Amino acid sequence: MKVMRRSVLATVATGLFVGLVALSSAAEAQQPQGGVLSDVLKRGTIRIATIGGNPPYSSLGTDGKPVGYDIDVANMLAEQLKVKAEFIVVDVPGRITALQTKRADVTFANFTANVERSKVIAFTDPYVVVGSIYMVKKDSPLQSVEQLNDPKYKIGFARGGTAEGISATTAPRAQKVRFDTVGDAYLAMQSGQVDSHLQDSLQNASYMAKDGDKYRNLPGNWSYEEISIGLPAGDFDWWRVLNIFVKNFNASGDNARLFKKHFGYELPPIQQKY
Amino acid sequence: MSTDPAPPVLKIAGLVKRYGPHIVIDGVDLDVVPGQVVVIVGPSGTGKSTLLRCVNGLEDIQGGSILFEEQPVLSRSRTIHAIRRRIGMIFQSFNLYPHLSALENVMLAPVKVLGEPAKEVEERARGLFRKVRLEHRAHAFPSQLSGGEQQRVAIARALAMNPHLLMFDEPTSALDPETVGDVLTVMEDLATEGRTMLVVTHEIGFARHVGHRMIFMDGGKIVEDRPPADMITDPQNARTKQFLGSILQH
Amino acid sequence: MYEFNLAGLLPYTGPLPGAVLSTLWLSALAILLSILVGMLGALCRVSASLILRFAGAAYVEVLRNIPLLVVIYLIFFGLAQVGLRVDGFNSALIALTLNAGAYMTEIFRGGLLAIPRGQYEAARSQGMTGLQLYRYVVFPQVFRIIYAPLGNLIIGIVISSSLASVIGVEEVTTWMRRAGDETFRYMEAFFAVGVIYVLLAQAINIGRIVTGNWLLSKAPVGARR
Repeated sequence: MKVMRRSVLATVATGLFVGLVALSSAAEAQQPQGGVLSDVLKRGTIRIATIGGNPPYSSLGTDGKPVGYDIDVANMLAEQLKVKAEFIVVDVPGRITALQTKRADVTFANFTANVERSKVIAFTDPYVVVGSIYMVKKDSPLQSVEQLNDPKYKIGFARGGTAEGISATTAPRAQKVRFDTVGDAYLAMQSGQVDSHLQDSLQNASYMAKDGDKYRNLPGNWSYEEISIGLPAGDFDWWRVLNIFVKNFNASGDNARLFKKHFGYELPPIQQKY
Repeated sequence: MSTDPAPPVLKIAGLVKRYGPHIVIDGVDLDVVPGQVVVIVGPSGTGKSTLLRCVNGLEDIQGGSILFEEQPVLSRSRTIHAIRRRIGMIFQSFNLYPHLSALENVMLAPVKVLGEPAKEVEERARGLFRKVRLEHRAHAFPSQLSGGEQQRVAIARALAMNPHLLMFDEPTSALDPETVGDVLTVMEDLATEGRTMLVVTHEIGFARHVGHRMIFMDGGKIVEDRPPADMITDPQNARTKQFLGSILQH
Repeated sequence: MYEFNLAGLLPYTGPLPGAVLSTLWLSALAILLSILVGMLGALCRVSASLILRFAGAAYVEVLRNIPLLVVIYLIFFGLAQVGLRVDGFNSALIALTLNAGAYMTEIFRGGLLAIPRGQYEAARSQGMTGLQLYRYVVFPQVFRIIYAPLGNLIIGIVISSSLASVIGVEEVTTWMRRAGDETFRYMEAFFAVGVIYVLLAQAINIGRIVTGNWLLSKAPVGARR
């Protein structure tokens, strides 16, 4: 059939085209680097990847510009480097790709440092430490995570985050529903599309402060996560600068002040007791 | 012929058709008995085609009545489909179904509407193609046929339903002159078979040779209703005379 | 340094067939349903009834002017807020159908308007009921007229079905994101899924051509050319 042959040809041609584009962009990403630090200083701008829909860490304000705790921290970094801050709003997995592809110099986005991610990007020391909490509606029949571990229940969370792995180990038998943003996952629990929302413990604290009459938490904190600045792998100078910034930020009281401003309560201790 | 004792196939009484304030048919009475060939002539825009369209319920009517085989023709009633199945209509622009071959055009309604077995219908259809002298064109598509051929397929399509009345709405007006004759020959054959026909046409020759009655319409009214030879040679009404004069000059 | 390495995705190819089937199933259902919606919508839009015409026009105007993503959210989250919980797959299916149905309506309307009055009159004069008229005379011609734009829209539906990923439907785009999340081979996942969509769209397109040829060649009354 002539038409069919034509469409097969189109398929092959498109495949080749897509392949070439992908290869050329990969080649671009492999250009030798002069070091992010010198690039940032030369450019006079620091490109910061962040996510929307994740208050109070970061969300988009009414004017479309990102606002929140992470944004204030990032602005403070730019100020100290004496460069302009330029925000790039990405989705949850985009926090990693933006660094891999060098579209961003840093990621400030409720970003948990872990070994898996460290294989492809780098992290500073933490500026916040959080856990993971299962939130349910007040009238939910669920009382424990063991109960939730049942195929008839749905757990909602934002994809590309640590919730994927945490839900897989703590409630492997429950259905998982993945959303683009934390806000969508929260809304899904509100509207009853999922039975529980697995979320960051600090976020949970601010949700509870606002809507505590409607929701409650299932007992247990299911993770220890160090929220850190993400940066491209293999750039020691850049890591050194950022880590000094984090250390000073934590020690100076700036962190405590910004945290209180956005979360409404005192910054929990960053040093974990082992 | 008008003394035929059979009850009329078609009985139109006091028919009025209006489009808004515009009156197209203004009190028409007309009876057609079986076997009769009635030719309707008249200037354009005078309601001839509309009259045919009223008879098979393509138009709703504002006054009077139409009885087809003693059943009232009501455009929006449930009985209209059954009535239309017994009336064959041939249009000026043929209106063949372009996505079907000539044979399929002829077979569609008998099979799908009347529910007759495809085999029988195909046999009958092939007979009809012989009758309209197109047996070699049965598998052509309408776009591959000349106007005259298309109109003969349309006639076969109408005949396939075994209609009790055939209505022709200016069947040759859209044709090239050289193909008009083929269509008229087929129509003449049908008249000879004793078919009941209602023909709107400007073909005065056809009216004279084939028609049993000739009706002159003007201004939505029947002005004159006489045997064709009489009307053509000796029109009574001044408007008939004027109209025939203008046509026969050509 | 970014090393492009498709093999990096290999550990995560297990869920891929299921994801592809899900995308195919979602698209195929949406295509069939939106064709039905489009046929009905177009009949409304050319109807003699003012109410039906208005309803048809309102449907098209509203649905064409709301992004599909918003329709998906409205059905998945919005209906749930008022107690009507439609799961992710069905929310996406309804949203795709409503959205594509509006475009289908316009395509079918164009097709209907291209059918000359004489076709209706010829069919009616043969005693066809409304249903027979549309089934045997009008829609077979409409399908021939709208064949090309219909194909474009059908591919559009396959592509748009990727938005189902935002409400957690496990399909190809969701697979892409999870494969990227798990392997950190995002570029490779994007690339692979780009190719998969091309193949899926073409598979559906070939399906359209084959069924189209079959439908169009099928003589409606048993006679063969």
